[in-house]
Amino acid sequence: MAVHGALTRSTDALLRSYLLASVAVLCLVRSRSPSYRPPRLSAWARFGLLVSAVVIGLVILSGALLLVTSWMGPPDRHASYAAATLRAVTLGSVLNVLWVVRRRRAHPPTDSDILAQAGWGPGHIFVSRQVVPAVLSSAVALVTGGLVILVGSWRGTVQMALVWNFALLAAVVCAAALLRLGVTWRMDYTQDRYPWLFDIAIGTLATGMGVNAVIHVTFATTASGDPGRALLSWMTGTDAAVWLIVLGVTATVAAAWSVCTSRRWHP
Amino acid sequence: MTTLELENVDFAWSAGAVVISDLSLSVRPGECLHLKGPSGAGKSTTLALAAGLLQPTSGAVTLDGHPANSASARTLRWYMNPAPALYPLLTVGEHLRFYARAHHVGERRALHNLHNLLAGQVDDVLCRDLTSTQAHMVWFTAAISCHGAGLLVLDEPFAAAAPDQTENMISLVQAHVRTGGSVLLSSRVHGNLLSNTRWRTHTLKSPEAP
Repeated sequence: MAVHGALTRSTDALLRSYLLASVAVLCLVRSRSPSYRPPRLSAWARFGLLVSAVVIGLVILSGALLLVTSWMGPPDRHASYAAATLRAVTLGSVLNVLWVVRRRRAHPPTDSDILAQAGWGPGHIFVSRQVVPAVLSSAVALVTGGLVILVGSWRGTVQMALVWNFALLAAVVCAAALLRLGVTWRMDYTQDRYPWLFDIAIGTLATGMGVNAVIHVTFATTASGDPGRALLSWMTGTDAAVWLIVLGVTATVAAAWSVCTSRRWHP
Repeated sequence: MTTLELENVDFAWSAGAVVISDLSLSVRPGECLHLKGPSGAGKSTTLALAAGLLQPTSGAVTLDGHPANSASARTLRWYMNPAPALYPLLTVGEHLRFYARAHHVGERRALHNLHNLLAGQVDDVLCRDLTSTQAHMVWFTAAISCHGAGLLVLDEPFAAAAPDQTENMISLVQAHVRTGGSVLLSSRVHGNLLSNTRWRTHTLKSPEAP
C-alpha cells in the first residue's frame, strides 16, 4: 500500500515491516481459529517463570564459561580488545534500556492497548514492539560477548576475571530484557504505576559506571601509557563488577516491581 | 444484542477513596445511556467497570449475565477510551483493516464511515502523522465499525470533534442503536447537540466526603 509521507529513518521502515508482518500473521490466526486465545499466566507466575529462565540460563552459561576457562592461557594484548568489546556491549545494553524507557514514554499506547481492542487479551505477547527487539538485542549482546570469550579462549588469552564480568554482563542484559517485558506487560491504563524512580536510578548508575571507567582508564593510562591495558584492568577489576551487580539488581527489581504491581485489563 | 447491568456497585481506589457508591443501572438492546456528572463523579470509572477493566469493590457488573471481566463478555463489547491506541507506523487504512479482520467484519463500512467524518482522504497516512482530531476520528471509526459487538462503551467520544463532526458521530451511534445495539457513553461537550437526541441520561454525583 502507498504511504503518504516518507519514512525518514531506516528503523521506521524496519519497524513498519515488522508490524505489517505481525498484523498479517495475527489476522491469519484469527481467521483460521477465531476462538484461539494464547494461555495467560498470572503476574506472579510470569515473573517466576522469567526469573527461573534467567537463573537457569545464567547457571548454564556460567558452567559453559567455566568449561571454556579450563583451556585459558595467560592474558596478552588480545585480552584488552576483548575487554573493550565487552565494556562497549555492556554500556550499550544499559543505554538500550534507557532508550526503550524513553520510547515507551514517547508512544503512550502499548501493544497491549492495541491488541486488546483487536480482541486479544493483554499479556499475550504475540505481537509486540518491545519484546522482540528486547530478545533480539539481548541475544546479540550475549552472542557478541560469548564470541569474544570464545575467540579469546581459542587464542588462549582470556582471563578468568573477564569471564566473570561476562557472566555479569549476561545478568545485566537479561535484567534489561526482563525490564522491557515488565514495561510491555504493564497494563494499567488509569494510573501510571511504573516506578520512574528506577529510571533515574538506572540512568544514574549507568552514568556513574561510565564516569568511573573514564576516570580509571585516564589515570591508569597516564601511569602506564597503555590504554588497552588500563581498560582491561578496569574491566577485570572490582569496580566494574560492583557497578554491574548494582545495575543488574536495580533493573531486576524495577522489572519485578513493574510486573507485580500491574493491573491487567482482563485478569 | 447485549444487556449491561450494574447492580449495587461500589468502587473505591483505596479505603476512604470512594468513587462510586451503590450504583445501579442497565443498558438494554436498542438503547443509549448518556452518563452525566461533574468532574470526579465517576463517569470514566463507571465506563471502565463496564469495560471489565476495573473490578467493583462490591456489587456486580454483567453483560448478558457474564461477569464484565470474563472472556465471554469481552466479545460482546467494544471499549473506546479517550486516548487513541494506534500503531504510529501503520497507515489509517491498514489499522482499520487490521481491526476489522481481527473481528471478522468487512473493512468497507469502516472506511466509508471514516470518509464521512473526515473531509480529506487519510487512508494512506501513517497514524503518527495524524492530527489529534484525525486520530480521534479514526479511533471512533474503529469503535463504531470494526467489530460485531453489541455494546459500545464510549468514554468522551466527542471530546476532540467539531460540532459538524459530532453530528455525524451521533448519527453513527444512533444507527448502531437502531440496529439493536446498546451504547453507554459519557460526554462533557456538545451538550446542546446531545440534548436533541432521545438518549436516556443518568447523572452521577460526587460521593460525599466522609
